[in-house]
Amino acid sequence: MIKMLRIDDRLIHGQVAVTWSKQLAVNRIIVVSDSISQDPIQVSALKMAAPEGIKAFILPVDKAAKMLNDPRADRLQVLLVMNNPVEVAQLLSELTTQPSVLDVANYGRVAGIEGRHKITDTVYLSDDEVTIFKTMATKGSHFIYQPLPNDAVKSVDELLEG
Amino acid sequence: MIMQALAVGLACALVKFGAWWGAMGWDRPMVASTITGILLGHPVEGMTVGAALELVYMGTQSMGGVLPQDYGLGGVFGCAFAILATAKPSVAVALSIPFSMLGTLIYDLFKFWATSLITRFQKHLEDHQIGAFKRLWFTQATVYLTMYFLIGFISILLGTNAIKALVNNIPTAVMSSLTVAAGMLPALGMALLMITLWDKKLAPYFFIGFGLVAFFKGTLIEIAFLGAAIAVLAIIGQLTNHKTDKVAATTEDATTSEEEDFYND
Repeated sequence: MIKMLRIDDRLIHGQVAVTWSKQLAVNRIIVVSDSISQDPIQVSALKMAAPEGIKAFILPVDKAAKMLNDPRADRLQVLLVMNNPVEVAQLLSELTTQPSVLDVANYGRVAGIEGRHKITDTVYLSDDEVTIFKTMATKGSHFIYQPLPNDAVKSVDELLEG
Repeated sequence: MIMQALAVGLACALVKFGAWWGAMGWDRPMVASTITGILLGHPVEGMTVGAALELVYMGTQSMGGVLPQDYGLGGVFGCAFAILATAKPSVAVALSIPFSMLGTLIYDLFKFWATSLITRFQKHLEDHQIGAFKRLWFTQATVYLTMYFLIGFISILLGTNAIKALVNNIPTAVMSSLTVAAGMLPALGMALLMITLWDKKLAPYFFIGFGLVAFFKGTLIEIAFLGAAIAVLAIIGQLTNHKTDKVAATTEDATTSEEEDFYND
């Protein structure tokens, strides 16, 4: 099962590798991105960042969906990490079983906050991206904002309204 | 008192410098408290209090720019009051906690200001004004270090007598409660650490340490000594495995695809 899908500019880093992987007790971390999976340097760097005892994979969207839809994936505890809302919407529409939690934690600051609206301290979205999140919400994919396990859970739907 | 205040102010600035410049970990209570002890002329007390405080803050880590508790300031002030107000280590632990909380507040205020400088940094870069960029950067660093120096200096200059009076006038009942509470804090620190660290492979080390204290009445020094030896053993084992793995990986034919690897344990 997919314990969580997390949107994070920094992909696998301390907050993901140390805190969430332990909290959710996952044994697989998959970074899903068409562009990163084609870049051998980023792939090897991300695999190095994964904590011991957890297998990390860096896959394009189609392949990730195919592997996660396989019945053998049901007994795995998976954490998905992505950095592109367009690909997130694509992946969610291809998955037969949806992730238990959808969390947007850090987004929009690495690419630059110019032209983006501040949603929270660590999430900045452009008009197009706001539309993507609203469209996903109408299809039943409701995101929360919770950078670390001890942080209070906030509804992204409500944050986008306010 | 001026000299001691200067020493503690310097300790605060040094600790924060070493925490930030290359993340050398000088803000770990063990190190922070030892630095303070050396500067105040009591290195042994500094280390003793440092060891006690390290246990308390063991599970507190700064991750991704989030500082839940300023264990660096906690370490400096815990040690300073233990030495200057001749407080027992248990009291020092209790006194260090409010300072670590105050430290978080101060750090957030500083970060608020530092973040507001980013647009100016960006503008200097766009205008190719490297000199101005560097000056701004040094201003920021100077404010950061001066701020912590002043926190140490002023707190000790104005606060030591008050703390001394407080320590001397604590009723016995409250003092015993403080001692009990301080005794429990390391358990809390350990528990917090376990949340991030606990797993089957590491559990035996935990029980070895527990057993050494519970059955053989070991002190921290004795356990640290044996712990260091065990750590070396573990690392030698891992290095050897790593070498054989490498040989095995090159001889094994690479037919296991990524998919198979994903489903296999």
